[in-house]
This record gives sequence, structure tokens and C-alpha cells, in this order.
Amino acid sequence: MPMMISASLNIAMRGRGQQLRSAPLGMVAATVLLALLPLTHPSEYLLSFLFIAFMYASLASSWNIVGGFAGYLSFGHAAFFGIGGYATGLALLHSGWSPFITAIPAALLAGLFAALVGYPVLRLRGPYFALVTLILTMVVRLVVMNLSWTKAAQGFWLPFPPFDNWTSRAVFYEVMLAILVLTLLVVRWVQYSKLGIGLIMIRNDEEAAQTFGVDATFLKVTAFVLSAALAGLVGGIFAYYRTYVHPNTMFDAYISVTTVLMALFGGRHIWFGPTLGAITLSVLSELLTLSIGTEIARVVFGLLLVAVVVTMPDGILGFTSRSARAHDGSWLKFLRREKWKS
Amino acid sequence: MSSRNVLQGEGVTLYFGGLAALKGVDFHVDEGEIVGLIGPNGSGKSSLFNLISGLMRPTHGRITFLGHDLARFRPHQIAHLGVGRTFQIVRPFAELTTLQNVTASALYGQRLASVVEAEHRARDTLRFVGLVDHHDQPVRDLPLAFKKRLEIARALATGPKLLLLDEVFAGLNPVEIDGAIELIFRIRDELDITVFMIEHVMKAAMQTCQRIMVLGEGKKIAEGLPQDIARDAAVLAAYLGPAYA
Repeated sequence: MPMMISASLNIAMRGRGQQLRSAPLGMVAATVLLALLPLTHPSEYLLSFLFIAFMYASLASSWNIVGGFAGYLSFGHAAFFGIGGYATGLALLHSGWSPFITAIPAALLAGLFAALVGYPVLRLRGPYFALVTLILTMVVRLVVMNLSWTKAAQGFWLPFPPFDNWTSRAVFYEVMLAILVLTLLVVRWVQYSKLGIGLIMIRNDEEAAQTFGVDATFLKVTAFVLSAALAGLVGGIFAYYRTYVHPNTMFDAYISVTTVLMALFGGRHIWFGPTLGAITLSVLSELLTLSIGTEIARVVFGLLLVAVVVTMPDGILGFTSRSARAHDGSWLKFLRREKWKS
Repeated sequence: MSSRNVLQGEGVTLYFGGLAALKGVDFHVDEGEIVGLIGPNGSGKSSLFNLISGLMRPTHGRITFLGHDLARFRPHQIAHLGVGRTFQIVRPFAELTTLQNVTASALYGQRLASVVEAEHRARDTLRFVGLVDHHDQPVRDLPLAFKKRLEIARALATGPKLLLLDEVFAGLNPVEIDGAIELIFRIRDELDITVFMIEHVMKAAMQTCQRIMVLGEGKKIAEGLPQDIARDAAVLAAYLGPAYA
């Protein structure tokens, strides 16, 4: 096994300069093509499917800033998603402000919440951190469920967007695509920035990192805030898409868990790993559901996930020749490339 | 060589619950010195290093570094003040290459804004410790002697004024030990870094240190020139039992 890893590492090292150059170009091309998709007048079904797939891709990618880069496995991403959703939902209900605009302050609110809880929660490590983030979501859900101004356990309906059904689906599709692209740009920037290098140090050995001058608390909270704000943005749009806001759908542990699984599945040490995981799993789950029916599909899907997590601990990107670990190290080659330019 | 005081501890005491790891230890390290810290297992050597680097807080007592009371600083700030350290069990960032490891520590240790600049300085450091030919190697593939050098390189890359070395000779063969001793002298002479080192390999400690301090059960039991320490009754008793003293 170590032999395999180092062999794949060599391949990845040789190829990674090229890869980094081509990755953003590929991203631009893919974005343009996907943005033009509604011109072909696809079905509402396809647009909705892609909306959800992009939503999970964005959630998994933003989760990865903390879960992948810093190595703090959070099971509380839904808390920030839900806060974003409630913020835009309530703003629309009370003031009539469009979630397409209020999603931005809603994201900031989710980030602020992350900053507040981040300081105490990020002192915990390993299973304790995972558990507390899971509980955090439940606590927020309970609070929202018992406050009258959030409409408590009844939830609330939102007015439909001012478009016909198909146009509405197309608009949501475009907005979620834009959010996914934004998320990927942020996550990619983080990976190759000083912040990202600090997070890698924290993941590897937090104590040692501190003795090299890393302010671990500050970096972790920064990562947590970024991660949460992006999730809040997604949640803010999702609430409008669903037009129904309820504690059980906005603070759903299923969202947190799915997010984590998708990121792990794709490979959490690389910025585009979680997106790959989310898209692959969304398509797979949909195909299984269509071919063998929902119930059996879930069983097969679950078994598949177990098999992948057991056999490919670094995700599919870690398993292929482009080793996750080698990618992790690619910031130096990346910067060397920048140096050639100047 | 001036005798300016770099590091000073007064009555340093550390309790883990009811257990005292360090009991009222006074010590000092002067500028340009290579000071050894020895003692049997569990005598509190690594605990003392953890206190100096801020990973633990003394229960009582005070440690000052260049006049700064270290109680007021967090570990990363202590690194920025100029304290670099290695760990007893080598802890390089296993998934990164040698160069990346050192670059990361230069980036944060010297508070650089540019990764390019950090990599530049990291290369100089790797050249200094003799690892530059292995810069692209993933750390997990390095032999132990190189891992130890990498540990030293990572600490050096933070730009320290004081270097704490925790058993850098352990597990090395005699030839590698000679190389490491030479490196430590070069660190002091060429980089003007004061060295405070924990050591178990006595012969190496005798050759390297100008002064040795001995801990036994959390107390300082002896301090002096290496040749005196080797004959000290209390030290022999601590290591071998009272019958041998």
C-alpha cells in the first residue's frame, strides 16, 4: 500500500503543474456551458435535480474548509444552512425583501453565529467536536421551534417567486450555479493561501503548528466563519426555492450527514474533491432511484457508500493516480508557477 | 560571547492534578550558550520545554524570555518572540514534502506574507541542515536521521533566538550523532542561536554542552560543567539508585 501511494504521488507530482493550469480554465468552460444550459429548454425535472446537486456540491465544498483542510469533522453544517434559510425567509415574510438579495446578509448572519460558537466549540477535537456540532444543530432547531417570531413548529409559507414555473426553476438553477462557482473560488483560494497552509498544519499537528507561530484559534474560527457564511448563502436560496420554511427541513441532520459523506466520497484534501463527490453521488442516487425504486435504491446507495469509505479513505480523488496527499502539497508548485509569471 | 540572560525560570512548578512534574525549578540560559538538560525518565524535562514553549502553563513560578514574562503569551506568540523547538517524537507534517514542511513554518514563524519568500528562506534553511537534496521528498519516506534534521530545520525556519532541542540524538547511530553535534555547533556559531537541549545520549551531551542541568523527580539536583556532572553523587544516585552514589 505505501508503495502504491508513493508511486501515485510521483505521477501526481509530475502532472500537477499542468493540472493546476488547466483546472481553472476547465472551470470557466464548465461554468459557461452550464450557465447556457437553460437555452436548450431542459425539463423542470432536470433543472431541479441540478439545483439540488449544485446545492450539495456547494455545501460539501464549504464544509471542506473546516472538515477537510483543518481536519475538524463538523456534523453541524445544517445549522448555518438553516440560519441562512430562516433569515431570508423571515425577511421576505415581514418586509417583502427578495431572498436573492437578503441571502447575502443572511450569509453574514450565519458567519457571525459561527464566530460566536466557534471559539468554544473549536477547542474540542475529534469525536467531541463532531458530537457537539451535531448537538448544536439540534439546539438551534429546538430554539427556532419554540420562538413565536420564527413561527415555531408550524413553519411558514413564502410567496412564490414572480415567475412561471419553468422560469422559476431556471432562475434558481442559475443562482445556485453562481453560488457553487463562488464557493469553489473561495475554497480554491483558501487551499493555496497562507490560511490554507496554516489549516493543513493544524490538521497534521495542531500543537506543533502553534510552536511554529500558527495562531490556531484564529485560523480555525476564520475557517469556520467562511464555511458557515457560504452554507448560510445556500440555505437562504434554498428556503425560497422550497417556499416553505420549517425547523425540520432547514435544520435537518440529514443535510449535515449527506454533506460530510459527499465531501469524504470525493476527497476532502482537495478543493474540487467535495464537488466531485456531491455530483457523483447525486447522479448515482438519482439513477438508482429511477431504475430500481426508492427503497431498494437507498439500501444499495448505503452499501455503496460504506464500500467506498472503507476502501478509499481519501475519497475517489485520493484513490486515483492524482493522490489527494500530493494535491495537498501542490501549493508550492502552484506558487512556483506564479513566480515564473512575474 | 556576552553573558546576557536569554531565558530565566524562577521557582517553576507544574502540577498534573496532585502529581508534581516540576517543583520549584530555577534555571537560566545565557546568550550564545549550549545548555544541556538531563535526567531520568519522568524527571520533568519535556514538561519544562512545554512550559517554555507555552503549550502548558506553570502552576507557580515565572519563566522570562528576553525579559518577557511568558505567562502573558500564547504558544504562537512565544514562537514569534523567538523560541523555536523540536519534539521528542519527530512530528513532521507527514503528508507534505520536506520543503513544504519548512516553508510552512517559515511562513508562520517569520510572519511572512508571501509563500514564495517563505519557500526561498526554507531552501536556505534546508541547505544549512544538509537536506536540500531531499526537498521534494514526502516526509514519510525520510530516514530517521533526516527526519531529525527536518525537525531542526522547521524550528530554525521560524527564525528563533533560542532553540529548544528535545532528544535530537535519540535513535541515531554514532556517525549520525557526530553529524548532529556538528550541526548544533554551527547553529550556535553561524546563526547566533542559543541552544537549550534535552539529551539522553550522555556522550553526545558531554561533547556538546558547556553547561548541564540535571532534573530528578521534578527538582533540579545538579548543575555545572559536563565533567563535574558526570561525577556528581546526586546525579549518579538519580540515575542508578543511591547505592551507586
